[in-house]
Amino acid sequence: MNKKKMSYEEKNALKGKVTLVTGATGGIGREICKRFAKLGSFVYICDIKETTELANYINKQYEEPRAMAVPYDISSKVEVREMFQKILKKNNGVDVLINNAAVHGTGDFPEISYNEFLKTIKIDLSGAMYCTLIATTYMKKNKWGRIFFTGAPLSSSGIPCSYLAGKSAFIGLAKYISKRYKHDNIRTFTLVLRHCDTPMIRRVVKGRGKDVEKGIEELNKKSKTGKMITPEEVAEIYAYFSLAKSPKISGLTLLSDGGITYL
Amino acid sequence: MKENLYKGQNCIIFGVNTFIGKIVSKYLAQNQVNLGLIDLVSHKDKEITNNLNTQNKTIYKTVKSGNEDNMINIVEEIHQKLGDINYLICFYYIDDLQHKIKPEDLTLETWDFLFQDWIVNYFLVLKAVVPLMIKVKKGRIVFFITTTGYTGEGEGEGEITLSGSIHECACSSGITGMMTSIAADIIPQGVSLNGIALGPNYKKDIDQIIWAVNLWLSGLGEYSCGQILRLY
Repeated sequence: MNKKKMSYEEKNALKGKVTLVTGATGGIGREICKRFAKLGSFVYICDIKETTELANYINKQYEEPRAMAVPYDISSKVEVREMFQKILKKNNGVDVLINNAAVHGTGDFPEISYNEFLKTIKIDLSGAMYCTLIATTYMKKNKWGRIFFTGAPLSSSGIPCSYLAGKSAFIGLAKYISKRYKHDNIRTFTLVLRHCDTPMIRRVVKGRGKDVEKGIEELNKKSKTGKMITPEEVAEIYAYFSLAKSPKISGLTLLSDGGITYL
Repeated sequence: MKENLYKGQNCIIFGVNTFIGKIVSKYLAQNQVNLGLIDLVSHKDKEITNNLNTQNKTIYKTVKSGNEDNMINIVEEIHQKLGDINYLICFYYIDDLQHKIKPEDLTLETWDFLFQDWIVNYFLVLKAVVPLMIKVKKGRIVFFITTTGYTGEGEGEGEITLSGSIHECACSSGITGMMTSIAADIIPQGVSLNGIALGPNYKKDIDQIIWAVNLWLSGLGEYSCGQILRLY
């Protein structure tokens, strides 16, 4: 992405704002964290995995600290509350929440096991709900908030029901919050992706017994643009929407899959 | 429909104690459908069975929420007593939900409760019933959700009427996604799964709901896969 494309950017537009990114060490999450730090926001990097390395990397880029690792499991209500307690010690809440964490899950129906279903949906849906519910409480108080969701198209076939349950919930959820809390200046946005060249999609391809590079090439060809969206491009879209001020630009669902599917 | 397409068919109804559950059960009983009635609460048993007043077979069972083994055993028992299951209809306590859970409720506990009671139990009843339908390569399933999953809140697209909660909205739209994926998995095996989304004033037009149930059960929607009728 060249500098011309970023001409909309207001330098340090999110200075003083606190961003929480879940699923932050994955391909997309990592780029979002870097991008929001560049916008001047302080970024809490949440993942079940260790996230200190990414926080250190970001902090080295700037004179003042702009990132902190919060390695918590968002499928646990207890851990989500602990994470917010940690954030709230230094801040009045979270200003920008990016619900990006997801596991793909496996198994067609009815072969999918109950345990597999629960494991996936608790991360993908309940985890996002826990973070959204707590973050919204403080956004209401602060009269400012941005909540973003990484979604998936409903028309997708071959996607496990546990994964799609979580991802599709975001579309309605974003609409609900945008309407209910529009006077509290809380804006929402769902970015719907089909494929993105991330480590997760590579694991999915490998799990299907395919050669990874060939599989990625096939996915690139599926897109009518000839290539999948990249994590950097996803982060750029979120950055752009974080700057939207109008209540009319809220609750939106943007399908960015190169024309593969329809919502 | 002049001919009684339902006579002698077997239907499992999950969430029979709900407002719509009772109405649809009564309608199907009048059309001589054998019923396997399942719910999470048992205190209304007599009311249900008296209300049905049917000469057809009727079995009533209470299931433990979120318990896979219990659900499988109950469905198997109904299957043994009624025979092949032709229909499955799933309801949730939408009425209670819209009265008891306030729109401003942002608690995590409410979410956990609703997530298990609604999404997880819909999944479990499907897990128990669908393999039986696949064996005989036929079956029609209807899920009930609410329109908040589409509109955020309100009666029509884009309108705000301040009904529903964030929890209801997430459950409804989450079930839509779950249903879409499962419907695509099972339609090649002769089993259809579609939905009906109820608006906040759904009690005012029961005929419309029966009409929608008929659409999905009668076979007219046989080629529809994971579609939802929105009844605003």
